[in-house]
Amino acid sequence: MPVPAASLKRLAMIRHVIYLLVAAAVIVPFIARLHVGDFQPGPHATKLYKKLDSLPAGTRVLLSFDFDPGSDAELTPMGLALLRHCFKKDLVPLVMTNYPAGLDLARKIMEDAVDDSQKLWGKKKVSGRDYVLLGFRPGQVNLVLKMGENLKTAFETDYYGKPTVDMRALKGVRSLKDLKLVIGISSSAWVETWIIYGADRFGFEYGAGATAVMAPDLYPFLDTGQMVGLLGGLRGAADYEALIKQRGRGTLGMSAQSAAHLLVIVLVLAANVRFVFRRLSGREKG
Amino acid sequence: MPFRRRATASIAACVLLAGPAVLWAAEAPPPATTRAASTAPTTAAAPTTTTAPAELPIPDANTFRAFDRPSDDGSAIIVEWAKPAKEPNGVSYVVEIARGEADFAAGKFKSIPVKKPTLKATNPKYFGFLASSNKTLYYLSVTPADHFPPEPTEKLTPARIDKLHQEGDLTSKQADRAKAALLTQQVEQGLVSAKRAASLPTEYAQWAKAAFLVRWFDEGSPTSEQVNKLLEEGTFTDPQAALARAMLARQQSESEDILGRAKRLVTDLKLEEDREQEANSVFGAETPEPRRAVRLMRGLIGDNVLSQQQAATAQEIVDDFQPEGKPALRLAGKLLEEKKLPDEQVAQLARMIRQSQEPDRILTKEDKAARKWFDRYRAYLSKTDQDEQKRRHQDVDGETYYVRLAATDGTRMAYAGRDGQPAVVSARARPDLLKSFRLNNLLFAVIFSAIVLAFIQAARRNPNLFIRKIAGLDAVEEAIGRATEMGRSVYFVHGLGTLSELATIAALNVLARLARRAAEYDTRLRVMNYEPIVTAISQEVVQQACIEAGRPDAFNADDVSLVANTQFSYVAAVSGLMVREQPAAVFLMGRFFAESLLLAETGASTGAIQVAGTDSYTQLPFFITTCDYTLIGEELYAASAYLSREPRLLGSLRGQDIGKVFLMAVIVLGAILLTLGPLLSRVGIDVGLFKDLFRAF
Amino acid sequence: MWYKRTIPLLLVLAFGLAGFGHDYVPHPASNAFREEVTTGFVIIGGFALFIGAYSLFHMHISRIRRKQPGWAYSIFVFLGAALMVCLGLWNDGDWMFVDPQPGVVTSFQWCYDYILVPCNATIFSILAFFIASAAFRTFRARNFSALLLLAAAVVVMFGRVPVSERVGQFLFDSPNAFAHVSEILLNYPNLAAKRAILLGVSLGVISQSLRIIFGIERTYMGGGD
Repeated sequence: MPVPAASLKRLAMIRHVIYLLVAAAVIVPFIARLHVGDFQPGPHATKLYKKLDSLPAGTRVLLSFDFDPGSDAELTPMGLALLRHCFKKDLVPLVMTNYPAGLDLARKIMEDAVDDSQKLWGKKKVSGRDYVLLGFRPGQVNLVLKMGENLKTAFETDYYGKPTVDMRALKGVRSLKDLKLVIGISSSAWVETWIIYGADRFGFEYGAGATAVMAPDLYPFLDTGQMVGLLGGLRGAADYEALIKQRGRGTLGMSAQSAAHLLVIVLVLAANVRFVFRRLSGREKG
Repeated sequence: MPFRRRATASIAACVLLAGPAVLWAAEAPPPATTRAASTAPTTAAAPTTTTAPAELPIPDANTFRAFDRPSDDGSAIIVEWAKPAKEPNGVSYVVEIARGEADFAAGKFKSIPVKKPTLKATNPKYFGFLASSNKTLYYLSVTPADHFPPEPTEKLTPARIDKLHQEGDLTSKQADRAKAALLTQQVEQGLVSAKRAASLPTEYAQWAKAAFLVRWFDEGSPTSEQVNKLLEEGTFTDPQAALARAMLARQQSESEDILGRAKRLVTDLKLEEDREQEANSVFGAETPEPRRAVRLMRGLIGDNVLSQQQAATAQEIVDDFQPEGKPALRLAGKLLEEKKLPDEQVAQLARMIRQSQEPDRILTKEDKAARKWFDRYRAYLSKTDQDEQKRRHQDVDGETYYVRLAATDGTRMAYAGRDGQPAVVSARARPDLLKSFRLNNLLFAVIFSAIVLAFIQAARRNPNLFIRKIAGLDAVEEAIGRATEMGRSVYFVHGLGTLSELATIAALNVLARLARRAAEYDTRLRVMNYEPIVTAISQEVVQQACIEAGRPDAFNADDVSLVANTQFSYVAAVSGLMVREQPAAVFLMGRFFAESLLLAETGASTGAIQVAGTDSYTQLPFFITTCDYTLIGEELYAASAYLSREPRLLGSLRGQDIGKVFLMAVIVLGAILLTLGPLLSRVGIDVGLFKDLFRAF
Repeated sequence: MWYKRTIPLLLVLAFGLAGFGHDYVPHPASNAFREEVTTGFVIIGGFALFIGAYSLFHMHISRIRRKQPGWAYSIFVFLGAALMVCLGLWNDGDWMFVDPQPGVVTSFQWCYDYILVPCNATIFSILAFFIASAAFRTFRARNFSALLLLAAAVVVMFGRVPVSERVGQFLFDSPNAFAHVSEILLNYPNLAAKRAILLGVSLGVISQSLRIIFGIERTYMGGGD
């Protein structure tokens, strides 16, 4: 209901105080380099990790980064952790995106992962041989169906313009049916699209990464076995980084996330304490 | 009331009667186009045996069939046969497929080994749920085009370009351009030998030789013997051969250097047993391979057993073996730097190797333009080639094929047959016209649609249908009234939906009523659009509403405009407008994502009355906490019926409610049946029937 | 005029029924139809962009001309658009007055990476502040159901952070206690409620679609009933 002007002013002041507290809760842990310490990765992230870890070296894995820069904060750490794992295990990641706005993001994640592979494990990864950045093609669901028929005609060249037809990294991969595992990271309904039009049709196993808001909606797919694992939000990224034993933005964000969550809990409890106190006072007066 | 009860009872009866009918229809065996036990002509190429020693089971010819369904795209035939009563270990099957019966005798058939055959019961989606025989029948799906691949489309060669020119697809100028572009591409890819290069202009000839060398080095393990052979054949010229020999020598010394360094590093280390064994096999081999030494180095780096200096040394070894770029480029560069080339002609060729990777510097302007055009033409041609290839696949799949079946233990074969001859069956793949496994889905969709339409008709006769109060929609009048009194505007925020989403269409219905009221009260209405098509429709809707209210002058196209076409730009724009203009009422209707709370909270901070409606259930909690009224899910879809009170629209809501009652009954009944499943199966009631009736594919 | 209403309605009916039928007909002709329609949709969407751009620019030009409050922001709309268009068209998006080099970030890309992306992230990050203030304002235990909601929210928020493992270990001797309860809350009551809404929405979608396909609901066409 509409609020009187005086209350609006008071609410505005309280709001500003809350904003300052939230800012402090997020910034201070970064500046003070506070770490939450070791934590147990969740079961869904562990399932995805085990699945990827069980693949032999040289296995081609498709990763679809279906998000735009708006979801960069939550989903990029996941993408990076997965690529690092792929390079550590000498798998051959094939990276694509269904978002034109996400193409550049996919490229950056790929390049960062390639640099990390060199730094962390001394493994130099070469495009076209050890990985492929397929890029973006329009078509949405039709693109998935086309990839299910012939991946190389769906992506005739990679992001860098090299033809895919004789690419070493795509040897033995004619279509999605030849892939053992596909992982989709998305902030929208693309996870379900990959399951319905991809995994169910072409028989590959599917793992997903999603924002924290969308992750609970995907639990039923885990129960039915249509997904082999799920990374949910920044916590999912941190879980995966813990599993591959490489700290990244996900782990770094846990301290800020913990502080922010705790702050919200404290604020809610404080507001309720005040609320209850006022009610009781009112009763006493009455 | 009696009508309602009758309607409900008849619907329930329909479903209960139709359900088994659906399952029966789905179970109906596909039409078989089997030719049973034909006699194949006996020739010298007769199969091994049809009477086998006792331990190899002979498949039963009476159960061996082939048929043309199911497959969605008409590309497969299904072959089935009964699982033998006794199936010893090590027995597998072979399905032989040929284009004609006589082809078996002539040996022109393909064999498809079936190591682990699949039972039909494992795929009830295509073969039905109820047939108990599926538990004893094996099946194999055969795509004929996989075994008799159609002729591939012709590669793009000068001959094909001439053919395209003759067919009128290319003019003669275009054909010349295409050939020139093809030639320069072949030169760039190193496919033009010295012999062919002689006919090219000097710079292109030099380029061709350099690129040929690069490709030759890239593709395999070049040796001095190969150089001599290519020189004799005329594929290499003398300068090419000299440069190749120099590069090989350099490469050899680099390999020796890498092996030497790696061996020195490993000698100083105390290795674990498996690494020690690996090192011994690498350095102890007759011809040690640098690749294996580098793999060992990588392994040692990953094991974290090296000191910092040792790790740096190992990393250097790895980097030196796998430098970026092509080996020929690197080697030629090194030779030029060290001035270890025999003469100036060879040095020129080495310099050209470096340049050969930048065709833009070598190509003339005309050739660059030709390439650009050619790339576009090639993309167009590849699309038509793909379509042609698809058509050829379909033609191949659409022919009739003949099939035989045999059991085998790897050495012997026992054919399914009669009278001493293998049974041959035939089938032709055809695409399905209907997905039979979705019949239940189709039936429910049709029944529900019929109910909704029936109630719409019924509402014409009985327009006084009850609909419960929806506070959010009742607040529309209140909100506009408030805005009028305060002299401020009303905002209508569409959200991020496109016109293909029903939430947006439902929002447009609300907008129409709202705009009319706003026009009547002379209140300014601003509509925030995200999508261009929705913008155009919103303008039409608002304009019409103003006309209907008798106030056509109230319409201002700038008040119903596109605000931004990306999510957070939209949020920033709308929030900024809200804070500056301080609307009295904000309607957030449509499809929302992460921006929902940003918009709603900004509206709340301005003190506006807020009414939200969305079917995005992930955003509902945000709206409920920040808005004064929220339309949850289908309440938004009911808005047009609620606001207009038109009997036909209200009738559809009633039909929807019947559907909901049905769903609730199914959920409760299903939960009870599945919980009591084991008990019921003991008395012969199969609850699987209920499950399968509502299975979704 | 009758054809202005009738032809669009007939088109809606035809395409609506075809779209419905496509789900049940696997024939390649049906798939080909869907592909063609999807391609046509993309093309129409491309043309619609012109309508949107015209609408946007016209609105901002009016604001500047009439010097309406906040008109200065409208200038930035044109400046931003002009900058990106010029950078995108000049030199194939590469830096001005420089030869294009493979592997080097173009100026167009630079503007996207270092202007647009941070701006988007900034707006998105405001969400954290708004959630805190919304939670403070509305999570009050006014009655029993509000109290339940509050408790569930606190448990779920707490269960998502690593700190809960320490607290869980201390209080219940189980580091996963809060995470486990949080999962149960999300997996059962939360999911059940979502599914209930989804079922209702799905039925609403069918009913609304029928009304649109059969021309009972026509508001989306504009121009009156």
